[in-house]
Amino acid sequence: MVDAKMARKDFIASIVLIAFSLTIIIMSYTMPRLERRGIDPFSAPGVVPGMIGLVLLCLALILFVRSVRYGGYRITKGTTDTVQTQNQKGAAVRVMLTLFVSLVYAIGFLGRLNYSVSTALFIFAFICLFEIQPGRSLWNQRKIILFALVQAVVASLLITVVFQNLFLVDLP
Amino acid sequence: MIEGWNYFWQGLSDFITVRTIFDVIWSTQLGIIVGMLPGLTATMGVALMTTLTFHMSPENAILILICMYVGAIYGGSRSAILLNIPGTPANAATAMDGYPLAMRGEAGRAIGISTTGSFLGSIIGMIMLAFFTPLLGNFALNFQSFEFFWLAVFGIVISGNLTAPKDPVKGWISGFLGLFIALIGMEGIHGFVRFSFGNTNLSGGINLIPAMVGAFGFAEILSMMKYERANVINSKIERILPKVRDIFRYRKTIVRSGLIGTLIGAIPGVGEDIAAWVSYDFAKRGSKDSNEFGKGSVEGLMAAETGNNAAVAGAVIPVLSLGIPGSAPAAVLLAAMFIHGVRPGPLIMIESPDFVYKVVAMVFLATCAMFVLGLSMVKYVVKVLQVPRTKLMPIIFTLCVIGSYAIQSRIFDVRVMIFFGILGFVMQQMEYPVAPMILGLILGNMLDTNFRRALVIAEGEALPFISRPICLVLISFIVLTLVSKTRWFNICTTVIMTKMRSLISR
Repeated sequence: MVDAKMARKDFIASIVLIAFSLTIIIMSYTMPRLERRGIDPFSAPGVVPGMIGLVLLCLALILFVRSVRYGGYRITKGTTDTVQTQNQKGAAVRVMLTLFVSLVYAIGFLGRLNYSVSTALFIFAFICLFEIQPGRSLWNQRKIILFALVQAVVASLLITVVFQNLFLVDLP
Repeated sequence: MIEGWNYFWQGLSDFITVRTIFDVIWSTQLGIIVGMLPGLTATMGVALMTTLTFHMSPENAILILICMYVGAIYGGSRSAILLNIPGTPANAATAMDGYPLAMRGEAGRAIGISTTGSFLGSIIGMIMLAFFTPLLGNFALNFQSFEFFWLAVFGIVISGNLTAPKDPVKGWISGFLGLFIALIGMEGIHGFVRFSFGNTNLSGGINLIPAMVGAFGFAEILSMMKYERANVINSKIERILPKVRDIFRYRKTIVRSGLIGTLIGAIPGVGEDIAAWVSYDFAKRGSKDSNEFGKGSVEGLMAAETGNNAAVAGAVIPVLSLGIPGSAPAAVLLAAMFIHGVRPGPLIMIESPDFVYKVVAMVFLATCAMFVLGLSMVKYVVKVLQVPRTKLMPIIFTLCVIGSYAIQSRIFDVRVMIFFGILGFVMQQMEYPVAPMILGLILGNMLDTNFRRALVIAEGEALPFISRPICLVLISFIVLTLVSKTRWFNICTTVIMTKMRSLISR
């Protein structure tokens, strides 16, 4: 038994998968067969990707048919009816914040800023973002900020020293 | 057999040095802590440790990884018992009876039982590892491209089926998606670059370790940060040493769970969590006190913990004999072996049989360390559970980043880790298991090269794919796995079973 919410998710996923598998099939079909190099057509590079694309297409179609049977296509109706609870909203915000701060560090800072500095900044920002309560004054929460700062500096230095000197990694 | 014993003792005696014992202790303890902390899985621990042991000698590195693996699978029982939150997915069944025992004020007893169960399960698995790896390895020497192709398909199908029991279609999608991702980059027969879109980094293919660190590490961080802080229960821990009576009373359950755990562990891509649940289910069915299960049954706890730790050694059997992982952490172990120049697979019993028994000795050392550490320092180690996730997760993420980067010193691998982290998180939310995708990533190359090679050998004929005896067995397993979840299959089996019962009763 598939619930309505999951059926909606499955419906969207099946459409994405159908498009994805069709792209794989088309790309595999148009892939060079290397006949000029006298290569056996059965060993052409597009054979296996094409086959996998076909299997994925079949599975996506099963998912599509099943989600339609359970009413997953009623997207607009379903989303307007759904009332997200406060907890779900909070969870989504926490995930987005984690993702944002992680992406800024891993894609924005790394390789552009000194490794130790960027790591310390990331750890400090992460802790403050989740531990500081917005309603209260920062002065009253100075312990949290101070502890975050100490943890960020110590962890960053430790990771830098261990990876650079012990594991001989050329840090970014 | 005697040769095997000699190799085992030789391996064990080689490992009895101060340095190695020190490595065994710290890595097992670290494994226990990693397993204990909800959000840090065994796979993540082994993957991160692979990057840290990159510069070590192969034997030392693999020993540390096995210790981490054994320790983490056991360590998850601590949080399952004390918090009702399994430290790793493998300990979900442990929480069923471990937590009620802790609530009754028997947390110490529950930890003792889980430690003993894990120890005995691991020992049973180790014996099976020593016995079945050479047998399976020698049998696999008969495999040709046709058999390897079907073996890869079988791995994906069974892994998808067992890791997504509610909806196997999603498991299979995950597996085939993994197979496709493995095909990105230069292929192994003609050196043709596929699906790279002119990107030089992509033409080298997707590295397994960053993908796994992302799918099991970053995805887990995102999942953990979804929730507010978990409540830490200050359960009193008194006597930890288990009573001999408890162990002797459930000897049948221990042996059965050990054997089931090893067998499930050896099935490609299935893993310790399924092993624990199946062992638990069998114990419940065979128990006189089945009503107690879920309410603090010592037998249930013993079965779950014996099953999941037996699966650790079980998962290593196909790694060594076929080059196919039995579980997600075993997949990292396989990748680590390749990184360190060890080539597991059917030829291992010819090229380096001593290595197989060295791995058995490594499992034995890790098991002993886990048992000793599991029964000591419990009160101090469980304090780690009080560290808030807001302080722990940024450090774990930093390790995920530097761990992915350290293998090849490429920022591209960090991006791969991020991509797989987001993909893994989305898959989790949509109830797609991640393990088949990772198995697909490993088996992709094997499937690709063997299928095309087999087609060339057979000159495009399909008959050799279905007429060879081992192929036939594998195909029947695949078909059985595919149809086992259909409604008509269940109806047919019910009718057959009813008729058989009535015939027997006559």
